[in-house]
Order: sequence, then structure tokens, then C-alpha cells
Amino acid sequence: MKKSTMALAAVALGALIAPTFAQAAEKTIAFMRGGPDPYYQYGMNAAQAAADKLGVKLVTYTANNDPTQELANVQDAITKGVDGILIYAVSLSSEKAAIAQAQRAGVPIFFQYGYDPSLLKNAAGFMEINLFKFGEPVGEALGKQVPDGEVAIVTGKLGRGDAEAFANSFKDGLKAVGSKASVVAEVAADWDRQKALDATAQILTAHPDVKAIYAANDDMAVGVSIAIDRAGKTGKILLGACNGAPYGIDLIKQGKMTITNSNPPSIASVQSLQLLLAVIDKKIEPGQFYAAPTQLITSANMDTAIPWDAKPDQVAAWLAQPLPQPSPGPTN
Amino acid sequence: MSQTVLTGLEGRVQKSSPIRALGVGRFTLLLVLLAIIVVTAIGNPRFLSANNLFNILFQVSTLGIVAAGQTVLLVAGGLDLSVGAALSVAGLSTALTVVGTGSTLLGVLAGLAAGTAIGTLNGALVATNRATPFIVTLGTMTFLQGMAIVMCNGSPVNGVDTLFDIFSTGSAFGVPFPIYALLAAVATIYLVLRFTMLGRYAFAIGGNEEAARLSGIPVRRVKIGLYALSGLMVGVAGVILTGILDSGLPSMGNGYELRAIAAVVIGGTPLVGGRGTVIGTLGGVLLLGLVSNSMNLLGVGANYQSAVLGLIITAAVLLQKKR
Repeated sequence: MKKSTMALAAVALGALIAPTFAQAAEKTIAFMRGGPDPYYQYGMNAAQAAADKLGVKLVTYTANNDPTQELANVQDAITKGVDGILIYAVSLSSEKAAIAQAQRAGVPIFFQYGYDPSLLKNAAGFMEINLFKFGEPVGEALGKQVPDGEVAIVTGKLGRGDAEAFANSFKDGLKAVGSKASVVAEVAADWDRQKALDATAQILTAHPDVKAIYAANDDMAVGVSIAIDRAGKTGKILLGACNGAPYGIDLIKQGKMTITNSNPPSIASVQSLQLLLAVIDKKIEPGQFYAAPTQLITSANMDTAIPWDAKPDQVAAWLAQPLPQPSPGPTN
Repeated sequence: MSQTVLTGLEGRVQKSSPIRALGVGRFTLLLVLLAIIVVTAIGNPRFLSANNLFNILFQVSTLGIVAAGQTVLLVAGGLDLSVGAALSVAGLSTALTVVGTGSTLLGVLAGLAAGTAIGTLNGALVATNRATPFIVTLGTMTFLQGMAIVMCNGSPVNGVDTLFDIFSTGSAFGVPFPIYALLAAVATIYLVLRFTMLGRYAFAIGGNEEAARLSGIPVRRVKIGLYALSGLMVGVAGVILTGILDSGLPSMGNGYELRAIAAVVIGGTPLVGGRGTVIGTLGGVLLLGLVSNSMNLLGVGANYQSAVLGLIITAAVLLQKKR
């Protein structure tokens, strides 16, 4: 074996065993991300800050959007001897297997998103927004300003249900306020900023009279906004989105976006961690659904938006609040 | 209906299909592109507007630059699966340097250096270990995907206003700057493949690596040079995409590797190497961009778009095989 190869192997081995020398804490919780999406990252950062304050050790895993890897992560965490698992599941299909693994080992598992009523009784709990209603207030807000004419939708990756729900609920919102605006284009941009930019350029070519565009998340809204800029239509086309991400709020501050419905991962992950710990300590019943915090953000309240990148004092303030109360799960 | 034809020095008897007899294979890509253009123009007259045509070129510019770099690798029988992740790292290097130093020039240099360094590293790993490029670059791809997240802690890096002004909204004579960059990249690769020793060696290595080695071609050095050149193209694309998106993102290069390879293969360069042209690659890139643009202008439903795109790519590749 070459020296360079041996050195590389030594570095890799060192990276692998270094974490085992970390000090053990009172409780160990596994935090599992579905993939590299910033949403998960912000949630993980807030959960880490909360864990530090609570004296809990947080070990983090990522599945890279691979259900097989996710199951391997669950098994590894159980082998490691964690007290509980807090997870953003990759897909509904992988949840059942994850629950089965955790149940066999007697480890509570709490899900952020991926709510399935049939799995609720076997989980420590679920926290999620109501996907079937989430785009509605954005549709209402844009519908009031566009009583007729053309609107377009740039939605996420199809096939998982969430992108479809975000788009349909936006249309419900338009109808709810009596807008006669017609949806002339509905393009899937896979939650991707560049694809949203390209899709919007094409929408504006095919439908130059579009009055408003709805992007199913703020990341895509940035791409939509750039396309609107490039077409020289800034200020002439309304833009609404979902998520309340820092870059979405920046668009509102710049006057390029009207509204975003925020579902901050920071406070949701802090509350989910608290709920999981309460289940472990037998302070609350497992198997319950909790509505994730949401907030409509416009230019009127953008300065008081719940931050995604929460500072430690903000996390401490959330920890001081009473635990969220369970509610009925959302239905389509 | 088929006819019998004698081909080649061996006088081998082959069955010639009507498609081959018509010479369709040679001009497959051009015919497919023309068909899409005609159908879309009939369906939506706005398709042929200068604004839309520039939009298509703008949209494929970064993919085209990456694919141009990938062409030299495939010609030499190589492959680089890490170009997408490397693009993310190059873009983030640019954004972080601009934000950290306040200098756009340093940011651009950092992006180009990152892309070139990654390419050189891949080349060194492939050439010195005689390892399969697929496996080596699969490893570096995974490493770089992780590095991209580590570099920015998984969050977008904003604050590249000058690059945005140049690459997203800037133009000269009405043509956006990324299109000039695409044409420059294609011209560079064309000249390298056609008029330099590096290009000739690439064809020789792709045709028969062992024969190239025995005839005195410095195979290792050439491979490292080709991967470095491809890496430089990735760096250029990373800088431009950072400007277009007004930010560096850990996921900005997602999917580029497969689309770039698809464009090169659609353009007539075989995966086994030995032949190929960057002009063909440009055609492949245009096909991918045109199909997407065409479907949106014709109002093809979102649920059907992936299926249609797949069918057209498959048809184009199968028709190419008729050559």
C-alpha cells in the first residue's frame, strides 16, 4: 500500500473514532435530518442550542434523502444507546420501518413532518403544519390584490404529496376570497432556486400578463424574484411564498415579495425536543399530534418574524414557555 | 424495407435500415432540435422571440460550460461524477471569499482555483492509481457534497451583489454575459481538442490507453491535465451560477453531473471514449434546455414533463446509435 493511501486511511479512521472520546451527558438524543436542506440545518442548530441549555447530548445524523440510510441511522442510534430519536423522515415509506426498529428497542421516536394517522399510536409524537391549508392564506392575500387576470404557480418536487398540497391550498385561498384569477401555469421546480428561475422565465414568456406568482417555498421565491428582475417586471408582478426563511424575509424587506407563510424550523425543533424529553420522562402521553408553529409575514410584521437562525437567548425564551398542547391531526 | 450494403475494408455485409440509408443518424440531433423548434413555434409563437431564445441560452449556460469540460474527459475514456458537488464548492468558495474579503476579483479567483484544484485532485487520483474514474469520482462527489455543507453550515451565503449585477442582469449588446462565457468555454474546448497535443493525446488515450502508453504518450500527465481543465470549467460555472443566483448554495450543483454526461452522450461522444466533439455537446445541452422550455411554453402538465423529457432523451440517443 502506498504511503499516501495509508495516510488517507489513517485520517479517515481518526475521523471515525474521534467522537467516541466525547464526554457522555445525562441523556442522549439522536437528531436525524432527512437531507442537506437548509430547513433541516436551522432546525438542527436550534435543537442543539436547546440541548446545550437542557444538559442533553445531541448526536446528529443525515440520511441524504435516502430511506435506506435513514433506517441504518436509526439502527446505529439504537446500538449507540440513545434515549430518544427526533427525526425529519425522508419519506412516509421509511417511517414505518423506523418506528418498528425503535419500538423493538424501546426507544421513543418523535417525528417532525411525515404525519400518518395509522402510525401515531406507535410514535412518541408528530409535529407538523397543516399541509392541506398552508398555502391558503397566501392565496387569500394575493387573491384580494388580484381579483381577476392571470396567476402562476411554481411548486416543489411532485410525488410526495407536499408540493401538490401547497399548490392546491393556494388555489383554495384564491377561491376563498372570491378572486376570479385563473392559474395559467403550474410548473414543478423541485424546491430548487435555479429551476424556479428558469421556470419563471418560461412562464413570463408564455404568459406576459401574469399578475402574481406563488412559489411553494422561499428558496424558489428567490429564483422567481430574479427572473422577474431580469424581465424588467419588478414591482409589476406580485409574489407570495411559504416558509419564512431569512432569504424570503429579505425579499419582503426589498419590496420584492408580498407575503410568506412561515413555518420556522427553529422553534418547531426546540418544541419537538422538549416534547420528546417529556415523553421519555413520562410527563406526557406519547402518540399525540402537535401543530407546528406558523406565522404569516408581511412588510407590517417582518421585524418580529420568528427567526430561523435563533440565537441562544431566543431559544432560552422558547424553553421557558409551557409545552404545546396536542391537537387533532390534519385531514385533507 | 432494408437494403444490403458492403461496408469497410473487411467487406462485412450489413443490413442498412431506412433510417441509416437516409443518413438520419449523422444529423439526428439537428433534426430533433429542428422538430422541437418547429412544433413549439407553431404551438406558441412567442417561442421564437429573441427574449425567449436568449433565455434558453442563459438557462443552459452553466450546464453547457460544465458539459464542455466533461467532453474532454469522455473523449479520453474518463468520467467525472463529482462536477456537481465541485460546482457547489467552487460557488461557495466564491461567495465566502467575496463576503469575507469584500473583493469580487478574489472571489472569482477563489472559485476558479477551487474548481481547478478539485479537477487536478481527481485527475491525480484516477491517473496515479489507475482506478476506475466512476468509483474515484463517486467518492470525491460524496466528500465534496459534505464539504459544501460544512463550508456554509448548510445555509445560503448571500452578499455577492457585483457578481449578480454582472451575471444575472448584466449584458453586452443585449446578450447576457453567461452566454458569452458559454461560447468562450465551447470555443476553448474546441480549440484544445482540435489543435493541441493535449487534445490529440485525449483521443489517443480514449481510443486505446495501452497503445497510447506504449507509443510514448505521458498518459498520467495528460489525464491530470484533462481533469484540471474540466475542473477549471466547473470553477467558471460555479462563479457564474453564484452570480446568477445571487448567492452560494450547498445544493447549487445538484444533478449537474448526470445532466452534463447526458448532454455529452446525446451530443455523440460515446462513454467508452475515442471520439466526440464539443459542438455535439453544445447540441445536447441545447436539446435539454429546449425540451424544458418547449414543454412549459406548450403548457405540458407538470406531471408529464419528466416522462416526456426522458422519452425525448432516449429517442435522441437511440437515433444517434444508428450512425
